[in-house]
Amino acid sequence: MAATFASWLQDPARLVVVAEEGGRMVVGFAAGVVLQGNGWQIPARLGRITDAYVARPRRRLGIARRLAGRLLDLLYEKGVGTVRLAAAVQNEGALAFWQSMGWSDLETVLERAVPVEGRDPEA
Amino acid sequence: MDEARSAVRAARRSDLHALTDLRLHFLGEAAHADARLRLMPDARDRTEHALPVWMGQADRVLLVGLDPAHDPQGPGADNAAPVAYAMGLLGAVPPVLAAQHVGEILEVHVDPAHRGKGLGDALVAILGEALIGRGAQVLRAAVPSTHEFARARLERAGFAPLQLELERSLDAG
Repeated sequence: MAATFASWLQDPARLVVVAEEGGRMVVGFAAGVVLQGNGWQIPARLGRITDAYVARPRRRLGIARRLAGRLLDLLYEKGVGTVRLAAAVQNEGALAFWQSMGWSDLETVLERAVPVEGRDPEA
Repeated sequence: MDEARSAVRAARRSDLHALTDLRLHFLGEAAHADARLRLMPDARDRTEHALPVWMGQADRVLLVGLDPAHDPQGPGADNAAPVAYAMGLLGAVPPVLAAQHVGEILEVHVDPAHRGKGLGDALVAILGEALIGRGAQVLRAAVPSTHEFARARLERAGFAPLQLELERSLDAG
């Protein structure tokens, strides 16, 4: 995980913001990335929020909203006009949070488990 | 379903022109239903260039569906133009947690004149089997939230909602 964060900090397409408490302790973070469009349907520069987390004892203090707001400002400065993210359908709190910040449904991702006996054992 | 299944085969080079038209129609339907999925101006050029590349990729599956009313073994069957297609991709995600081979059902489209014949269900079934045969440990598919028919087709095939993809414009303030 630490290596992943380190690589994000080196990647100019990635953005990571943190919430500090007392200038010493990180109590939350949010991360995003600037993606190139696919040429047929996705905007030429698409922002994606990949992570947003606040330590449980520090929730409901507006930290996530400030993290997301700062991340959006940085994405906008990089020329992004559209930002997407994914949230689990069962995570009603996260969906309500993002919807309250102006996000709306675009696509539904559906999943089907594959029985072990159906898989290619060589894969 | 058996008749529709027999009308599905792997895409061939000779299908490229029809596949381009079908894909543009697929993208156009999504754009019509939700303006946020609007097509880029060079969508046709990009599709014409991408399809031959995709056809040669080992981790990608490209299927076409013919009119099930025509005998797949009958005269002229080899030259019959596809009226439907489906595309899938085998990927490894997510990178941070446990690696997992995900079979993504990227696109499924049936020409409106040939809907209601089971082609969409057959394409989803055969595409899923092909991705599992390549090692997929789970199957996923994203459909526009406005496309109730596409979601219903996947639910008939055993899929259940996992995530919502949300979007926000920054230009609107």
